[in-house]
Amino acid sequence: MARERRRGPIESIRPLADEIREWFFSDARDAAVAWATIVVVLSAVLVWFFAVSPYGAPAAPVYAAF
Amino acid sequence: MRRLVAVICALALVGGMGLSFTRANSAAVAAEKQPAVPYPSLEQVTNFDFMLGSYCGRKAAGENPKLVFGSSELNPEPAGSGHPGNLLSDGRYGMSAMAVGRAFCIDLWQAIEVGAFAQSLDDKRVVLVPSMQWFMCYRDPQKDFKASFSQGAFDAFLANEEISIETKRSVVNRMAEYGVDRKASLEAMRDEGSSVLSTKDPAEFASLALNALSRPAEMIDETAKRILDGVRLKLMMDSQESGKSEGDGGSSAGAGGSKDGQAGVPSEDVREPRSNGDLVGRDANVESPAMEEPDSAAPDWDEVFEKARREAESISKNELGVYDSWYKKNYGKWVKGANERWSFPKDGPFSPQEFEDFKLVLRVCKEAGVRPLVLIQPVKGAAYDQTIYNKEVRAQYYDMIREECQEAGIEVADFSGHEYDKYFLRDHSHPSSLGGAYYSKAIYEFFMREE
Repeated sequence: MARERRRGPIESIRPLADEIREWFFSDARDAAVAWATIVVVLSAVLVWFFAVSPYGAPAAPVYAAF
Repeated sequence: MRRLVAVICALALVGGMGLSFTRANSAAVAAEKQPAVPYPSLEQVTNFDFMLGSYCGRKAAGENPKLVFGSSELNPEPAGSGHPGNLLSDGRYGMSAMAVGRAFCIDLWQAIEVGAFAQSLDDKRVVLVPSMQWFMCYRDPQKDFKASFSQGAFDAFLANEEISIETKRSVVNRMAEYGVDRKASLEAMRDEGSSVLSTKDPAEFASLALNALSRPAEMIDETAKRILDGVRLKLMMDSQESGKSEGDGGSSAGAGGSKDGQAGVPSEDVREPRSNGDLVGRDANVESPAMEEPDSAAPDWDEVFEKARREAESISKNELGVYDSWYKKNYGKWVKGANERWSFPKDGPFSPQEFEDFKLVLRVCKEAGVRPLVLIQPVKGAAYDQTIYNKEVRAQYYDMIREECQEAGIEVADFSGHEYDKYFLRDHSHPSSLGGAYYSKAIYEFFMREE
């Protein structure tokens, strides 16, 4: 008698992932709130990256005094 | 549908918050909050909105600001009470000397800034302070100019209609040589009167069409950068301010700070009390002009010089007469480094290219209707004599600047005769409290002279 194969970790979470995907792309009110939250969070990351992080700031020249 | 509405609402919210955030945190707001900066930081000096805001803020406060363009010698913190940034920067004596520049702001930078500021000046007089080091063998304008370039100042410079297109082209071409290519901006300005549709020349059509297509993208890019630079500056100044209030209230040099390995006078008592004496000093190498009645009494120059000399002498106990902190820490290294690394390029000890840039500054002044005083700084003779830039070589530089100014009919405050004045400089080239007092007197008398 063949033993039943154990499901892998990805396979085991697939039903949950499918459920979440279905909810996320649905027309539910809480899904819309999730979309809005993600837009706000990603925008905040962009603002931080360009305005606050040192990215793109010119390096101060080093004084040549040996 | 709900998702779309949610995303649009979120974007609107982010846009609204972003707009109010950038409005509350712009360079202009930063300048309004703290208009008087004795020695601007790199972020401040490269942000024209801040510099112009600072000028306007001082003007609104009745400080009668006057622009002094220079580089690291403008740093007042290490110098002492006689330095213009300590003596004349807060309007106590009927004017305030506003430092425009810091280390690495060279001639080309000055040409752009003078042209940018010219139309906003009530009194079209400025002081220009060139440095011999800009012309020397180790100059690196590609690095220095790129780091100190101010897009806002360049835009204002281009917008100044008093400056000819030839001069603007000379500036833009030199900028490109130094690694900041803005030829498209000049071409776009030139093309404003020409229409892509009206031209019959295919080459001109192609050039105009290309500019017309690329310009909007560049403008968006430049505007975004300008806004973000303003936000960065404001946030940086806010964080410095909160750091200062949490700390022990130490240094008072604003965002400028003391960098560059320069020697420094103890920071207490660098601002001397207001005096009510008469103008009697005769030490500066400029003619004593007729004085306009200022809002406040002029500095008591005898007292200023006396105090400055005492300060300089008290912390310059070495044979050279420079500040002991620099002498102990840097002097040996400086002489060794200079002898190991300096050698004259093929085109001579002083760069003809930088000299052309100096002439460009004078040209911009003339076209923009600005009358400059060129302040010629000495270097420490006893130190430089130990390098390839000996007395005879240095004389070439002083002659070059002097002759050019004479030819252009420009006034000069010539301190090159102080190379061997023991306490004039605090290190190899920056003024001590005493040297600063000489500069202060020359600057004050130039600006307060009755026109």
